[in-house]
Order: sequence, then structure tokens, then C-alpha cells
Amino acid sequence: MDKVKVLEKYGKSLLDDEALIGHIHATSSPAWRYLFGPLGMILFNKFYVLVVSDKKIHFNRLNQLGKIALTDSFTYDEIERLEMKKGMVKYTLRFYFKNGNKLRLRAQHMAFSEKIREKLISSQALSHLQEKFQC
Amino acid sequence: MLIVFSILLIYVGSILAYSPNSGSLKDTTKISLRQRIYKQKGVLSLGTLLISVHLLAMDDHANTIADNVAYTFGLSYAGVIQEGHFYQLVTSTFVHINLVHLCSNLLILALLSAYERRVVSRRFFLVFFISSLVSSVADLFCVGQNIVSMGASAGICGLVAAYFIDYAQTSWKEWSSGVFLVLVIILFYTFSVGIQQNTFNYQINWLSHLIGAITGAFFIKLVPFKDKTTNLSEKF
Repeated sequence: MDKVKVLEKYGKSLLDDEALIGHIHATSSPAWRYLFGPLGMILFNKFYVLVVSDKKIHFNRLNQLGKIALTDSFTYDEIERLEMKKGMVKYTLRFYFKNGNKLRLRAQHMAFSEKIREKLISSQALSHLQEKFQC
Repeated sequence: MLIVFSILLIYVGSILAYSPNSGSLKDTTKISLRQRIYKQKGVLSLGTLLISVHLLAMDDHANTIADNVAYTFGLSYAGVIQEGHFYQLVTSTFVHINLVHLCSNLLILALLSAYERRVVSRRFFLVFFISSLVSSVADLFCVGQNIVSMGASAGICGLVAAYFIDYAQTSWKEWSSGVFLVLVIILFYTFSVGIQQNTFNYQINWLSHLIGAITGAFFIKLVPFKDKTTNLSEKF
């Protein structure tokens, strides 16, 4: 997904003086969701699109139809730390916010083609986060 | 009887014990027990009603429903059309064949507390009752004359459909793709359990499930949800 499309779909929360760096499609779900069968697996899945700019990270929470339900924007100062681990198929991102909240996200980096991969996760956003939080 | 009481305790306890956050990462407030009861009163009362009815309706020596209760309150063509027992259109929703049937419905109902927290309880009840009633009426003419049909599944399928599609300002395209997704999930559920129907000794009325889901979907399209709360923490 190029920057114009990201801005069009998810960039409404971006201010004029912010420069878009990239985006990350991710899901947040508890490990015990499998206990509740297929419906539980879907119900407990929360979908996020992280829009990474030079000043903030915008956490866009999507509803089941793929529309933005809620946006939380955090400046880099408001995030205590970020832990990032690369798995075989997905990255695990653990955000620790200064207000005490935590968020564990899983973002897929494995795809059949580079084009699909870029739609899911942009390498600029990842490297920017790694650089900012030194992880 | 002890098993049914344990189910009631587990059901109510797990709904009240689960404390979902507001969804907003900025929000750090905890949801009080009182708020949890208030926001999930539909799921709590409906589940308690289903369990209580099963407790009264079940056979003394087994966990299955007594035969006379099944024929009196279950939905059948002979009962409604020939004998004029129209109350069966409503009562069939609240009786279940056995504990497996009851528990499978309660599990999904508990999961659907997420839907009730998003919309108001009145809308939750409306979707449930309209889906149940329409599917009961359709059952009379689509299912064989000698078959007794019962269970809250049709209403629950209506609620499942509503969970996926019931958002403010949903376009027809989004609505139809949501309906397709719901029908796939419901058919998957129905047939995955249906494979084991010999173990459960009853047949799954897949048509009723589908009609319930479609009714729920049409209801929410005809009466669209107006999201009045802008603050998600009010919905938690």
C-alpha cells in the first residue's frame, strides 16, 4: 500500500505538520481464545492499523467490517518502551505506555510476494520504530 | 440438578469476572462490578432464564428434557396448526433438549456479551426475540410435521449476525459482505457439530439457524443502529 492510500484510509488523525513514515497491520488477541471455538477466535481478535509518523504513533482500532472504530494517538514520549521480536511468520510488538496500559500486537511479515508484504507492513515503519526505541 | 446449578454459577461468574477494558488505550479506569451487571443485563438475564427453564423442564433421572414438556412447549406443526397451541412459537425458544444443547447455546450467548456492551440491552433483546419468532414461524412450514423443534439457537444466530454487521452507517456492500461472513461461520458451526449428531442423539435444525441469522441481519438493516456515545469508555 503506498503512502497516498494509507493517508486516504487511515490518515485522518494525522495533523498537518506530521509526516507519514509507514503503517503496520496487526492483531491483538489473547492466547486462550482458542478455548471458545471459531467464534471465540474471531470475537477476541482486535484488529489494528498502526500509522507511524515522525511525531506520533496512531493506533487505529478497526471494527469487524474493517472501518476505523477508534483512534488513539501517542507521541513517542508517551510510550515507555517497545519490545519487538521477529518470529517465523509474525512480529510480536509489545507496547508499554506511560499511563500503565500495555498492548501486545502481532504483525505478519511473511507473504507470498513483496507487494502483499508491503500492504501488511511497511519496512520504513518497522525500522523507524526499531531506531526510536532501540529494539 | 447439581450440574445445572454449577452451570448457572459458572455462567454468571464468568460473565461478571471478565473485565474488558474500554478499548481505548488512553483510558485507565477500571469497570466496576455494578457497571458490568448493568451493561450485560441482557446476557445475564437471558442465560439465567434458559438455565432455570431447563432445571424445571428436565427429567428427574437424566439431564434431558422430559418427553411431556418437550411435546407441550417444543414447536411442532401438529401442536400449533392442528391443536392451536400458538404459545409454542415463543416457548420453544426457552427449552433445550439436553445439557450439551443448553451449554453450547450459553457459551455463544456469553461471548455475545461483547455485542450487548456495544449496543443497548433493548436492541439486544429485540434482535434475539425477532430472530427467534420469525424462525419459529418459518420452521412450522419448512420442517417436517412430526418433528419437534426447540432451542434458543435461532435467536443467538440473529445476535451473531448483529455482532458482525450492527454498526452505525453501514453501506449495503459492507452489510452484504458481513452477512456472507456470518452465514459461512454459522454453516461451519452447524455442520461441524452436525457430524457428531449421532453422539448427541438429536438433529440440528440448520435451516432455523440460517433463518435466524438472516432475520437478525435484515432487522438491523431496517432499524439501523444510531451510535449516540462518542466516548468508547461509556460502552466499555
